[in-house]
Amino acid sequence: MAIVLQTSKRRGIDNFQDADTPELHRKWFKALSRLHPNAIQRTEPSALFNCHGLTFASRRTKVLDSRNISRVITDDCWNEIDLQKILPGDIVIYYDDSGDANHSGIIVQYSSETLVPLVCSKWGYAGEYLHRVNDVPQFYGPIMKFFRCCL
Amino acid sequence: MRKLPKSKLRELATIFILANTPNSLAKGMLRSDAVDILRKECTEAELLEYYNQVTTKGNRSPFVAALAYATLIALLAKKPTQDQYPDPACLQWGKEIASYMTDNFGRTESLIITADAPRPLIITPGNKAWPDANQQIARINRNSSLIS
Repeated sequence: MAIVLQTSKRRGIDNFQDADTPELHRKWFKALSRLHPNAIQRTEPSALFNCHGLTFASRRTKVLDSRNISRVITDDCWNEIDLQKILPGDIVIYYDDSGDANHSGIIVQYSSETLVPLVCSKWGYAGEYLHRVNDVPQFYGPIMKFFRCCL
Repeated sequence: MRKLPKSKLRELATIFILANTPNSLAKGMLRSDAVDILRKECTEAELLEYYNQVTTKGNRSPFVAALAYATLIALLAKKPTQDQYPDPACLQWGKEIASYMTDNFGRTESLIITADAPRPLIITPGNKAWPDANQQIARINRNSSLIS
């Protein structure tokens, strides 16, 4: 099921609200702590939204098509910024080599001394995690870009 | 059907659990050893049979669901013919993944040519689109004069 979701320019964003997370999946999430021991689980798993839904739709739904992310970036004036200039509230998008936005999250903490931002993001079927910007599953992509909304 | 080691299954299940979009699931699995093994060591028929078998399971654990997606991706990467093409709708993100695989790996299409239904030929004296129309009209007139 989808909800009405639009950019500030009133262009529609395809989205999908999933049913509950299957019980069999829940047992698997404990294994994630072994793969990413430094990531802190913030919330319980939810099937309602995905990472892009957290970043761009206030946790209300899943945005599955990367083309919709490009549309949001353009319409909502998300300007790319350098790592050195980021502040809490900015976002990070993880791209793969072909330019697909595989993952996104919100910067929640940043120290200019260490240059390693702390990110809040949702990992697939799992919950939200607080993690260092580079502490994510490898297949999310090697390219990180940072954006600030300038609406 | 080749049996995958437990470690490879675990890798697939992790990708399945952590993928945020259908495209990232497809790409993550395409880079995995497990899908590589399935592509290289299984025939299209074996993959299709296994896909049909595994997608009929109702209560899917992450292992089973991941294996179903991996089988679909491995099969589509082999560009199956029409009769070996799986039904991607059996999986939640199946259609999106099939679309991604077709865009990136192509598909062996079957060209179906259907014969036109027979239509009556209408010939009028001014019909220039039919070059022999005048000759045919003359022949029809001649025959009808013979009848009368």
